[in-house]
Amino acid sequence: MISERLKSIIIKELGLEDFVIEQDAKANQIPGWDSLNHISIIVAIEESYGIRLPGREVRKLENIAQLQELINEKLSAKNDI
Amino acid sequence: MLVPTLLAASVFFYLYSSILFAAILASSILINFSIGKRINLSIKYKYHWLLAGLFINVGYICLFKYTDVISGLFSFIGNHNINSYSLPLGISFYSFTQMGYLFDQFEGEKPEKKLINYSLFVSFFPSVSSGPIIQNDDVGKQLRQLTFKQFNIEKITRGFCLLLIGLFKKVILADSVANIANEVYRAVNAKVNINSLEAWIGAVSYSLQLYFDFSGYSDIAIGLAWMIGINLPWNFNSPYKAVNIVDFWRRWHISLSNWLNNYVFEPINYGYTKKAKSIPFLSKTSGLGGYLLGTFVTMFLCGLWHGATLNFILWGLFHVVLIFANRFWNMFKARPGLKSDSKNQSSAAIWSSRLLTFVSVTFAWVLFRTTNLGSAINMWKAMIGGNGFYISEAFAKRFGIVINNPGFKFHFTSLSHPIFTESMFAIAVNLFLLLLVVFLLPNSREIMCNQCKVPRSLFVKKIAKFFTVENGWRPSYVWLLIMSVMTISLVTWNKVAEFLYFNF
Repeated sequence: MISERLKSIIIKELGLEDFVIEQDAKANQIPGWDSLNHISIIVAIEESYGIRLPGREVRKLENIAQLQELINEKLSAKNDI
Repeated sequence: MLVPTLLAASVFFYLYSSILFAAILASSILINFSIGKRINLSIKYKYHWLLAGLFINVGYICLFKYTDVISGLFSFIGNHNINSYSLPLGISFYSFTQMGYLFDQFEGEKPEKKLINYSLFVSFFPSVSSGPIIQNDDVGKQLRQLTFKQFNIEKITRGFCLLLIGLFKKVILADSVANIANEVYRAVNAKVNINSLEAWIGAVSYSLQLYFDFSGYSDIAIGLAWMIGINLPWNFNSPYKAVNIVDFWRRWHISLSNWLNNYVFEPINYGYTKKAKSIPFLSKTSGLGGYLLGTFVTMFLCGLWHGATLNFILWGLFHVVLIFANRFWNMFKARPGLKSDSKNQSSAAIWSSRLLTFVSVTFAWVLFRTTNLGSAINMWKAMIGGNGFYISEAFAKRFGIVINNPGFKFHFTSLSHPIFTESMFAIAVNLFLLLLVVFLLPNSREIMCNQCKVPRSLFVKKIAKFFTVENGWRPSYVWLLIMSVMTISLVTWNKVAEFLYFNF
């Protein structure tokens, strides 16, 4: 389940208006999400949640839902420390 | 038993090139295996061990690849008499494979526990000499988990067919244009003034030679690995069908461009973007700044990876300019108020983009092939008609066009000093057929890969149906005929093939 927080980060970074991110959305289906903006989005997510998303783990993701799962995993690990 | 057997085969393959080179490979494997473990175990000195590992691997490459340049840089302090060493087979490829392994260790991947498994991963004979560049959590994992049960006649047959396709591309197709390219570039390097037609024939021939040579080798490596039950990553995906330069780099030497993206572009982009966000006058353009800096360094290193001459570095920078131009064009098209429907481009628009990309890449390949910048400039000058636009004498006579009149800046000229040993008709047919292959036909991956989710255009689907591969490749009478024709061609070909990418 993609959280509203993650959706708003993506929409803000890409400057989108009135765009609905579906639950099964992939990065290449979101207007403007390309190699230019990809890192900006990742950095924005990391700063918002206070976590680190290693590149090799991000590369294995297939859609936004899996990105949300990775964020949740990093948050759990951070809370456990 | 499979791992030791495959390792023995890989060692035998590599020893065949040179005992000294095998010793160099062995030392590289031992050093990287140890450093990988240190990176994984250490908390405080992880970064230092990573840097040490990168320094050693880059040192290996520099020692054998860039000795001339380095000794030249130090020549001001006296004669060093450093000889150029022969290039150990695949040193750029296996060094990059291992640097990728070290980066992955740094990011938390579990290290390979057994030296024998790691040795096989690095020295795996289908890929050690000219790639593809592989990753431990993909090919390394497959090798560790390989069992005799995975051998089956279908995989062996499919692998053999792909190997044959690769050999055919490399030995027949690439070599059919190699002579043409060599004749043109020999003239250019000797400062002979060639006309536009001769120049374009040479340039396009070399573009085709390079593609068929390298993609052919990659097909051989992948086919051979399939016969053993291992899936290597695909290295090419019809690069000359690319609609822009960014698309080209998603299709050409994919394993190298992925490596550079993962371990150079993204870290630089990330580091810059993160720092720039905290600086007020840089924060709004932090993403763009990171992208531009990352692209510049990546393509500079890409050029340097191929060779330490000015030409290779300029080739990398040429692509920087092309990528920047593409990026700024996209930003211009995306301006508010400017309507564009990039997703529904007409056929004419797509083919125009393909042609423009092919021409741009062909211009860049001139730097790859010429021996120095002066020769490259001669070639470019000829390509844009600086030595005369070609026109046939009959056509000129018919329309009263004056030829061979260098009084004008741009003039017409005929083939007064034909530099080709083959007839122009034979060259035209050869180039036409090969351009048909690269622009219209499905590639090896689209034909052979049953597991790949390959998007296929309607035209490619029709071709796939004709060749009975619409549901994935299967042995058939059509393929028996195709493989027989390829085998007969290979057996009767009487030239010695050159592997261009063995030079890297």
